[in-house]
Amino acid sequence: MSANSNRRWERLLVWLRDEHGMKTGEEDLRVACRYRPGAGNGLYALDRCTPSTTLFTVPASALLNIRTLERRYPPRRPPLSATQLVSLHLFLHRPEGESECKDPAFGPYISVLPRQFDAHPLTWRIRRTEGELLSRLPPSVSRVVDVVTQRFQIDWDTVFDYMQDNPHILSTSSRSDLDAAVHTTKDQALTEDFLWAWLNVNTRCVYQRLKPKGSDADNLTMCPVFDFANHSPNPPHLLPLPSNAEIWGTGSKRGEPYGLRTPDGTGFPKDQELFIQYGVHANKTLFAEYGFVNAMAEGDVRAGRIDGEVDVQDVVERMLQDRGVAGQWIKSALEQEGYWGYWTLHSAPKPGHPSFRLISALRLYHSIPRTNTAIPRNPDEILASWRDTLMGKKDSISPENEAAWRATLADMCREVAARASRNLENLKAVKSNNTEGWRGFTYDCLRTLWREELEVAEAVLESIRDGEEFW
Amino acid sequence: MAPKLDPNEIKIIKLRVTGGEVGSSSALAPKIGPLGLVQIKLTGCMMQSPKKVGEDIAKATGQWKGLRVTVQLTIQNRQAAVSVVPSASSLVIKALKEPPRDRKKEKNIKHTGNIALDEIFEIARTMREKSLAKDLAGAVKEILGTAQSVGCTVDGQPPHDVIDGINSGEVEVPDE
Repeated sequence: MSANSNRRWERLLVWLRDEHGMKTGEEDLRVACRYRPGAGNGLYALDRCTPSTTLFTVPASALLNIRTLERRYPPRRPPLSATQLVSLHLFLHRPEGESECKDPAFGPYISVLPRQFDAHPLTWRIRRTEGELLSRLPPSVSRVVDVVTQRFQIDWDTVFDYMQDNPHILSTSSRSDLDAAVHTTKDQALTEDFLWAWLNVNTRCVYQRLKPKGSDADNLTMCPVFDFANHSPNPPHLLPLPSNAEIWGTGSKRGEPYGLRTPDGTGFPKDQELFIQYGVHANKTLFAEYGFVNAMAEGDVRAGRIDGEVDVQDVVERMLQDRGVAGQWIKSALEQEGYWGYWTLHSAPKPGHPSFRLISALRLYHSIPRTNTAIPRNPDEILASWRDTLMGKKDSISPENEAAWRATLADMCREVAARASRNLENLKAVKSNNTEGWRGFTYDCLRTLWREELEVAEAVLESIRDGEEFW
Repeated sequence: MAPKLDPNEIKIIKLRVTGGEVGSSSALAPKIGPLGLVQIKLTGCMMQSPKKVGEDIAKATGQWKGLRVTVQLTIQNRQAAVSVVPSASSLVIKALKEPPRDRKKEKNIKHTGNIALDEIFEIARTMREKSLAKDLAGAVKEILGTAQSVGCTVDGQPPHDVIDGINSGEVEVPDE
């Protein structure tokens, strides 16, 4: 870590101990933040950790969530969501340049948060820069970036309106450049400040049961120390400490402490980096939400050692558009039955295979002769036969239908593989010119995303050629 | 984005099945298929067909052929992983090593066999995590209670006599 980062980490620990009563002795805080070149900051074991050991416990008052923030801001109907509220607080206390955050309540924590998100695709969208990088994204990744952008816009609009309705909250800001009288319109600088705040929440928040309903979207918190833990798809992973709110299924009115422990049956040696698993996400989601991907050695996806996933929504949608009115009818049938979207190809478990959802969509696609672009004359009959395959009453609609969708699937795989090969070639040309700083890392991510598409498509194509039965 | 470590991303469905048999897909589909109400609420559609999940269940329960067992489907990222949930009654009946039966033809089966006490200890160790007993002896007594309900004997004695033996100290139970 740089001298600055070291100083901020030490200051954070002092703040946690003195202001919030966190135990930071060597028996109570068994991890430290360290910098690893190429990977950034991470959480490391200070000493040997035995299985089921509590690594640290952060008091409830030091967490950034609806419980610690809701009383600081005027109420609103409907209330701001947890993401909006925490983002608003970070926005109001964004540190200026490389200086420390002056927020009297959470300053030392906000100071250790990342200062910029240049490598995040949402930043490129909002700044309208890096058009070349955006144009190189696989279509499925672009689609998720669109969804993330929409979420950001909704939150920014809501928070901006809230600030317009409650201009006095700007006076609580620790920033010198925020002025209620001046900031009556959304300029680019303000948007970028909120983008920084929102991305900190989106990339660093963790689930914590605060509301009575477990699936409530406000069950999230930002937790000092914890949020240095990096993601790994492979175990062992650290686990959150048990929470009373979760055990009793009640939620928590005052919030609860949050901490991590080592898993049962696995210990860690001194100085080992400790990981969590953010969630079981495909690479497209990891890249669009967090700006990184799971590393995949060349050939691992094709061989089925890693579950590569390709979303072929754009290909299927185009096929349906080409079918005219018949395509529209198929689309509405898929939507009504809950089979619209999430059409994927997978490389593992072997052999490479399409998802059941994709098979089902292709079966319906071929239930109407391909030359027919009008609504079928016997729609109920077609749908009844198709539904039987969904409900497990029949294995297939007909041998002809099976052969037809397998042929279409093979065409799709060829198209996806050819597109991926083209893009990988184009990326080779870029490599020599543009590998400085974060761009080098981002280009590596792009190569991984396209290679995953190529290897998965080839694995499924091989399965079709080998006559594998998919179900 | 769902926050990190979100338990809502993991959905668990428990089913009671006959071990080693590929159940009817049409029976499984409403529970786990994309059209099932439970499924729509819980996971927003699966990537595997009911038939594939049925095959996975049959594979995972191969050691329990012909016995009714509880299986757990753990669904993450729309992929289901199957695991057997051990239950005291299933483990006791499995320990009786009865010949496989056709459940459709034979009804009201009586489990009149005998189990060695050491096997009861082993079952108690397997079930220890679920038990609220403070020591292994308590868990062993719980399993003996299940054996009583199943109708078998333990070391040739009615299970309740063994429980009395444990209470009086005549029967020794290991610490772990």
